[in-house]
Amino acid sequence: MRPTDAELQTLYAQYAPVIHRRCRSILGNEEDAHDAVQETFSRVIIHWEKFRGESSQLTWMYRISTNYCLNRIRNRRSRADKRQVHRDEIVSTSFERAGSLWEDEATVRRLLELADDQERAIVIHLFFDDMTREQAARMVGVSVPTLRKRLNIFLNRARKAMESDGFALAAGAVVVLLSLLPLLLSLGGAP
Amino acid sequence: MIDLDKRINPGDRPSRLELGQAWSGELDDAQDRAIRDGAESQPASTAWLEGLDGAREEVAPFDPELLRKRAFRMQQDEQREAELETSREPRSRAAWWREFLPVTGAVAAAAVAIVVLLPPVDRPTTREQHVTPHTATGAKGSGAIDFYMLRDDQVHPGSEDEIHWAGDRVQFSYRTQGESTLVLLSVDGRGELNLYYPDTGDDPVSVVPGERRMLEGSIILDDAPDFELILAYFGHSSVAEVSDEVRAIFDEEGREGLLLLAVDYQDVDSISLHKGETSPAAGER
Repeated sequence: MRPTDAELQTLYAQYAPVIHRRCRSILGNEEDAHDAVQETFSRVIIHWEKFRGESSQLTWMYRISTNYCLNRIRNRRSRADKRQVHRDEIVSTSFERAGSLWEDEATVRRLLELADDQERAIVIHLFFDDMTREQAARMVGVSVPTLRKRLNIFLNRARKAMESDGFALAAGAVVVLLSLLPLLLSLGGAP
Repeated sequence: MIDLDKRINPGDRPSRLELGQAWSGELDDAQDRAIRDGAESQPASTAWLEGLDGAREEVAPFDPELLRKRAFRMQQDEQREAELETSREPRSRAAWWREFLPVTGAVAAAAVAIVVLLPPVDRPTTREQHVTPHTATGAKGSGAIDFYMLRDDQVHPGSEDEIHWAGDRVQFSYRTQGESTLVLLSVDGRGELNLYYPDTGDDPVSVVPGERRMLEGSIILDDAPDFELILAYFGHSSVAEVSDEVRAIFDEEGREGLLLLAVDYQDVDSISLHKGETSPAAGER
């Protein structure tokens, strides 16, 4: 059983802007955001029966597009071609990249490359999706204390990587991590 | 500055998922009202909602054919992976070949029948056989690429007229009318095919029709001699299809064949870089 074009078009109008905006925020560029939308809707076609039975179709699409984002982040990290592909571009890839909010998101994106998939998903849900700890834990399928521990590990690894020569983050990122310290300290607190 | 501790939502505002659910009309009236009320006093939440209105204009045009093709390929990939997994499972040493015997026989017979009975089918391997894509609106699509160079820490618009060297960094920009996918690859002086966008897989990268945009990332030219011919295919749905065509035309007609392809068809564009033999010292270029 497959959706008709009309059914797909209705869903596309209803959900594509949400997925697009979310994935652009996570991945940082239009091209990947467009691709995420295509991937998500292609999976809607494949899993049509299951999709139709979901109580929140957007939540289902969020899960699919989260997986897509995790794959993209993983690929960026592991790119090793005959020619080296650089993350830092010669010229800006977006005409919207201005202001402190962008700087924050760009830094978090780079820090995400250090993480494993579960940590990435946690940071994506907390930072980019603006979820509470409880909501993020539900999305990832872990308990809140586990979420706290995983976040702690991620932040520690990010700090260590910055101390080594292997990860040349911009000086601004140092400030970012320093500002994360209160969170680190609070992780031992109440669940 | 990021202060993630302060950034984490303590529960005093709806998440962006909830905002999306409200915006998309997924919630009933009471839920919708609760979410929108919760967002009202939160500037970031209201800005996100407004941004969703703007995102309507930013998503690629709805193209069911493209989605179905991609779904089909994804399903094939999943099946292949599942088959691979099955083949990895341990099986009885004594009996494994028995399972394959009837299948192998049938496949061999079918292959013989196909070779004997069917007329040869030409693959689209020459310029004349190039299939141009059509946009979602039915018009023949087109696209163009351009590039920037970084050399000796100086960024400048690229030019095909100048000599390029190993170590030069190149970033591409594109502009397309109505096409939503791109495959960007090159053939170098050694005859090697290099895939850049996407870096892996068979799905082209998505591009945004309209104004000129930069592609994320850059490449560093290596020491392949003579030339680096970069080709951009707009609107095609399979990297393998594009690679096959480029390889076939290059084998048959060389670099000129590919240059002519880009001249003849609007969905293909090229940048031809001439490579210097030895890289001169900085300042002598």
